[in-house]
Amino acid sequence: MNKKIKLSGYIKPYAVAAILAPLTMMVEVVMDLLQPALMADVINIGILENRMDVILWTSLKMLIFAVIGMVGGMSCTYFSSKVSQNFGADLRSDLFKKVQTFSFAETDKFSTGSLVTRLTNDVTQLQNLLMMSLRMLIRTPLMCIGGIVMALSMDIKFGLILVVSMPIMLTIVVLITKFGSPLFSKMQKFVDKLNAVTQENLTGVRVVKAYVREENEIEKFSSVNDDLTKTTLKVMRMMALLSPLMMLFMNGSVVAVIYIGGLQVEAKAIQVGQVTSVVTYMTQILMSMMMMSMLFMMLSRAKASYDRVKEVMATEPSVKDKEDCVSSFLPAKGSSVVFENVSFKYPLAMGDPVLRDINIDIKPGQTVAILGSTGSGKSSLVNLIPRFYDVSSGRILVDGIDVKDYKSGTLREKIGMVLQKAVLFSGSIAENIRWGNPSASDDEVYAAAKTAQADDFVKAFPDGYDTELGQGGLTLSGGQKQRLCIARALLKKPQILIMDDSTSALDMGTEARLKKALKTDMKDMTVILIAQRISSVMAADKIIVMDGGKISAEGTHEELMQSSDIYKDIYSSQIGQGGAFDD
Amino acid sequence: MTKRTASHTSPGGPGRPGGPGAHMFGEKAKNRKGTILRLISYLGKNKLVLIMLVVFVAVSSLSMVYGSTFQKSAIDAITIDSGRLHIDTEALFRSLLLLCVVYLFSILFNFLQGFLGASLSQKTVRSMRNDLFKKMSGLPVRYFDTHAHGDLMSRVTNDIDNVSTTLSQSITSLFSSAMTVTASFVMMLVYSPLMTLITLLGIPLSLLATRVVAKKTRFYFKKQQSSLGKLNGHIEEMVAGQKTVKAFNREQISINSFEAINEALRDSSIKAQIFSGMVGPIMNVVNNITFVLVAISGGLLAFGDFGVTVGTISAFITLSRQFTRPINEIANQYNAIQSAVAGAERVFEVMDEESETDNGKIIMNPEEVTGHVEFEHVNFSYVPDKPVLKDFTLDVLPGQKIALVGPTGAGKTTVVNLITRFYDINDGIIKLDGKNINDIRKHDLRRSIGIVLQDTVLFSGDIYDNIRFGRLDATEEEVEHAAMTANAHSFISRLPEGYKTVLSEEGSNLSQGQRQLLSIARAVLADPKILILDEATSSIDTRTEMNVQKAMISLMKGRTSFIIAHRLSTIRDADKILVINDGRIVESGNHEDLLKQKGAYYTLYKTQFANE
Repeated sequence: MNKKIKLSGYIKPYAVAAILAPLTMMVEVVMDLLQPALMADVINIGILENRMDVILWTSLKMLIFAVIGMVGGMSCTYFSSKVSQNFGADLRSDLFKKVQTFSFAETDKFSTGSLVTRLTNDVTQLQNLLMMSLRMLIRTPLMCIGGIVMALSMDIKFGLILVVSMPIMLTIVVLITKFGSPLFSKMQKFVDKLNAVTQENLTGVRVVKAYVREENEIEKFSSVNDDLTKTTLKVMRMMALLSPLMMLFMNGSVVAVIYIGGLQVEAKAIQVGQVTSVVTYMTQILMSMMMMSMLFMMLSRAKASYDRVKEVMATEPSVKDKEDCVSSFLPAKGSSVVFENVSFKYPLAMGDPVLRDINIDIKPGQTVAILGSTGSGKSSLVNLIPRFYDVSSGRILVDGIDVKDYKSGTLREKIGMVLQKAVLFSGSIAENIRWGNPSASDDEVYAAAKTAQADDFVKAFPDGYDTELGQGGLTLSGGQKQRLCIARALLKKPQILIMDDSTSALDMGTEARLKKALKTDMKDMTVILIAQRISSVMAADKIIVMDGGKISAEGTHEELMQSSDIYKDIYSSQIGQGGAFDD
Repeated sequence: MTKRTASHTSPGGPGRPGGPGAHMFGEKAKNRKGTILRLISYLGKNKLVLIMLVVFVAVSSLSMVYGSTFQKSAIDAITIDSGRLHIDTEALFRSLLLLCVVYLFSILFNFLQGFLGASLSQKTVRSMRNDLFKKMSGLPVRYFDTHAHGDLMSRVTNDIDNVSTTLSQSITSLFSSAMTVTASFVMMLVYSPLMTLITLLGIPLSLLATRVVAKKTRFYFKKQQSSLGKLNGHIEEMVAGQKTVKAFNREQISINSFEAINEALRDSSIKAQIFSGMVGPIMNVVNNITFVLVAISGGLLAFGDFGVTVGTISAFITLSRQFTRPINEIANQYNAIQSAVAGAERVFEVMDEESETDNGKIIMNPEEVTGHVEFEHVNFSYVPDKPVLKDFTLDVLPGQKIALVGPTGAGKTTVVNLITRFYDINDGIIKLDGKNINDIRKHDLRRSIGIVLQDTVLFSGDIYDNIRFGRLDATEEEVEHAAMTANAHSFISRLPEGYKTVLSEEGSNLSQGQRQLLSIARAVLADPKILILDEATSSIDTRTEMNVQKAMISLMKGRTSFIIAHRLSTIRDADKILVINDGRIVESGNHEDLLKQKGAYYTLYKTQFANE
């Protein structure tokens, strides 16, 4: 975290309101402070000297001051709301933009759940703090100091009480703040854990239910819940101590005021009216101190949020565009995709690199298939082409240019990616396919769906292409999702189509039709496909067999049948044995 | 409350899986009173604590109010006017001493009240959270299929948090407020009924003001919470689908739709804050008006022979503050209370959802199940008028291996959803060992079934924990043995910490295939009588699959197995292959028979090798 991130920058656009808020609050405070002094006049002159005119006149003044105070208070509310909520919205927006720039190394680090909390809960915390601060940070000290000044102006002897009580009060506030802060961050950790359990159970309902593990999951949840409750209780009990302590001092001070006041009245230094107003001031002073301690607590709670938000802000995406990057489409020259001595290791992973010394040369229009066992690095390999991750060493060229020299948007524009996990988004089917090209006409959408063999089943829905998908396309079958994902990639009309095991849920017939359609509709496209089924790869121009992060063999089907034992193994496991061709 | 539930669930409607915004449209007259009552009934669960709390609050607030009597006599003791030239020292000391005693008493109980209030509120929130989670565990799969996860998350976290904060801050203050208001009122009446009447003049004014403001505030808070839920959903969707977002250069568009929700949130939250913040200053001015009224009336009455002294006025000032401060306090916390009520409403909304029902009375020992599964004329549709299975009839004998093949969307996975009773059929009967599965206790039914899905689900914890999900009391040896059977042992042992390796969120530190092997190991360990493999091996490469296959064959021995796959190697050995199309079984038989028939299966089989 070398870069200094200042969240105060988010207040700047609303600087005027941010200054007006405490200023208008000052109006309210001054008005509040004047009231008891006027009351003293009512008692001393009005009542004790039987002056009705003074009572009425002073009361009228009090009323006017009250209204002025209200206007001040309302303005402060208005300005502070504006500043804080705008601050929150801007911050949230920037955070989201930041998250959108993250490459996978960063998202892996934070995890989805934590990012969601940071963008919502944490920002809300900060926003609330800002609002409270704008309202209270000026109000409380001003009230405190103003109250002291007013009390002393009544009679300097009252200062004695403050000299005794103030330091003790301050100590209490400091102590509580100090012990409270670590508890708050502990609390936040349990909240995170609780969220994680909830998240898992949401995504894994079927498994939880199938294994009848509801009870255990509930137990797991409630044990984290217990931890959270215990910690929160500790915090709250400390707070519960605070309030009576403050009351002790407040009421003790009132008693002292009356006592000292009595002596001063006897000494004819003041009148009883002053005593009553000092009682009021004393209450105001101590109340503000209490507010201040509350504010400190909020501050320490928000500190955790602040750190978490800042961490997101300060994280620089590990994959970044160069300044002089290629952002226009240059005529393709030479090979479509080239891997040169590429090695790769996941940023957070331990142990050996996932890919070692990879050299591949793919010509435009070629279809290249990648085969290999689980964990052999097939997915990692294709993820490097659109630069989802950066290579650890070596380089990858797309159309003769290093992927690192591209503007990532331009690079990805060339590539149509169908991922292993079929991800769809809430919205209609047409909207989902249009991800490939937002400006595509309806006919283009239909055409892409037709090629992807999705047109038939989509049309069978009552709402056809306007059918709304829940989050993640939950109502569709695996194969349907995959075909929509393929349609989405095809609509892009990419130069390079990458299919990462993305026909696994398709039945054989559909897959065969899809292949045929691809051949006729997208002739010039370079296709890189990862597949499990040997029948899916046999027709490829080149087949690459991966094993343990290395290329173990490459060539056409016929060549590999001669040269690669692994390939032959796979072949016989799927087709060779059992003599299925007895028609 | 029940009425509200009914009206809420019914429009879930045909073909409209409620997106993140689904609840947005429920803006009709909300049962705020009901929500508050329900919150209170939650508090009432700890009856003893609640009663003690009420007593402590009462003692604390009453003694605080009673203190004003001694304050009055103390002030009267030091009043020097035409009637008296010296202060009454003896009365002063006596009053002050009593004042101290009363205050100490009040403080002690205030402490006890805070202490008790904290545990009451936290325990309430804890049980609310537990209840909500329990409720969610009991909701049918359909609910999760049609609701945005982000929004649900937001209810468990944001909304409950709102309730928690408010309960902890407001619970005792609400009690003591009510107490103090009443007690102050009585004391004021005792001192001077006339002045009390005048003091009360401020009340209708403040009531009117809060009423107007409250209406607005509630409206905007509700809007704010719903925008927040939507925002949650959007962030989750976009972050979880990041690869797709990046691959399609959709960052900007995703930002744009974020901005749209964010703007709505900005708008409603500014308004919510402004309106709720107005309450403070309004109450403040009402306070001050009361103050002035006390001054004028006190001054006037002090002239006449109404028993009003300077002490009375001073006590009245204190009392009228004690009288209005609680109202003020509630007003100050109005903000929090409003958002808590809105949050509680959203929480209760989930709690009011209909749970998965289990009318099953038949108790079955999962170990004694033979695995005879029958479908008799089953009809099923996810959405009305869109049948997925039509008159589906099937008899699977114990230990048979059934392969389901057919085009995607033909209803293969639906068969799985029905046997497990994730969804209930519309008509017909599904039987297990001759008994209608609707009559069997769901837990027993599901315990006899093991499933492995295409989308693997892993849970936080280490690998032991994840495999043990299949059977909790399994020993480490048994877990390892299951892993060996599923061919997962070798890759697990290669991990730096072996079985103790902690999986990151959703197991992202494992490959898709490795994750699948873990969930197969889980099923192996569970040792169910019926096994369902829904595309279980689709993301395992064929070489690994060959080994898994061997393990599977021995695993499937003696178990009724349903295999949904499209790999020939997986299907070929099945006892019976069912070709499903358009919700019906079009062909069935073993591999050889079906090939000889030269029907749908034959075509399907040929097309796989169409390229040859």
